Amino acid sequence: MTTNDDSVLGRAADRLMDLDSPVYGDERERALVMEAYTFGATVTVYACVGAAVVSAVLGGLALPVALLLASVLPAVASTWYARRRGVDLLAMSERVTPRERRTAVLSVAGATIGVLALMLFTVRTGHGLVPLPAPTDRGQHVLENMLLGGILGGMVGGIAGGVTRLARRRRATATEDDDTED
Amino acid sequence: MTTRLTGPSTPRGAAAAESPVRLRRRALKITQAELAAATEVSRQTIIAIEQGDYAPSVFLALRIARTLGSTVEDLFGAAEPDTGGSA
Repeated sequence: MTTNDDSVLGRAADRLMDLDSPVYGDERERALVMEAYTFGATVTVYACVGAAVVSAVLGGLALPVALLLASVLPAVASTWYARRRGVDLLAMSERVTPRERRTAVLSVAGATIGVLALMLFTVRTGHGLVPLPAPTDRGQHVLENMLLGGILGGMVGGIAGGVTRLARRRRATATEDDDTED
Repeated sequence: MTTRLTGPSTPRGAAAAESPVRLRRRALKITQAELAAATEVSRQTIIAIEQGDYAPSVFLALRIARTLGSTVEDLFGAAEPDTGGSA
């Protein structure tokens, strides 16, 4: 499924989404997939804002900014994507209830102001509100081992994921009973 | 959010038992899997339709009606749509 948008970004978006892919399933599954992705994007927004607050508390300067920008990205990208299909998400967002608007504005704007205030504290004092201990040789050794563990764990996890996928594919070929309710 | 064919108080078993799609499918001795394959959707979607948890699009409703040798009005016309919840 493609749009009439022949711009470079438009074609890239069509290719990225690949809406004709069988991964989206049938019409019901497709609707649920889109709901699920929206839920994931919403969770990511709040996670990025929360992570920005944490990193600002610990004295980060570039990381909180990057995380705040990342939290805005889903809204910007989805607004652009919908506009090319003739839907104005900003206008539709005006239909939200005052209570929902208040909650969203207070949580996101409040966190943003908090992050900026914490960054200002870091700039003025030279350390975060909760200062991290200075790295030591032992600390660097521990960090190195943690990173190595993460890399190895990721590889093991990838293998486990592949095995799980293979097992699931084998189970899916088993005969299903008719008229099973679930 | 998807449109349900039954009210929120309708027990799932009752919705499945009275579904015209299910009745017609059983009369023709077609399994859910066979109907799903014929209409190019998943078996779970057929189950959701029979249980009243999902209202198919016009195109899917027409395919189901054509496969079951019936009409959209006979299969889906009696239920009042009730928006809310998801399948």
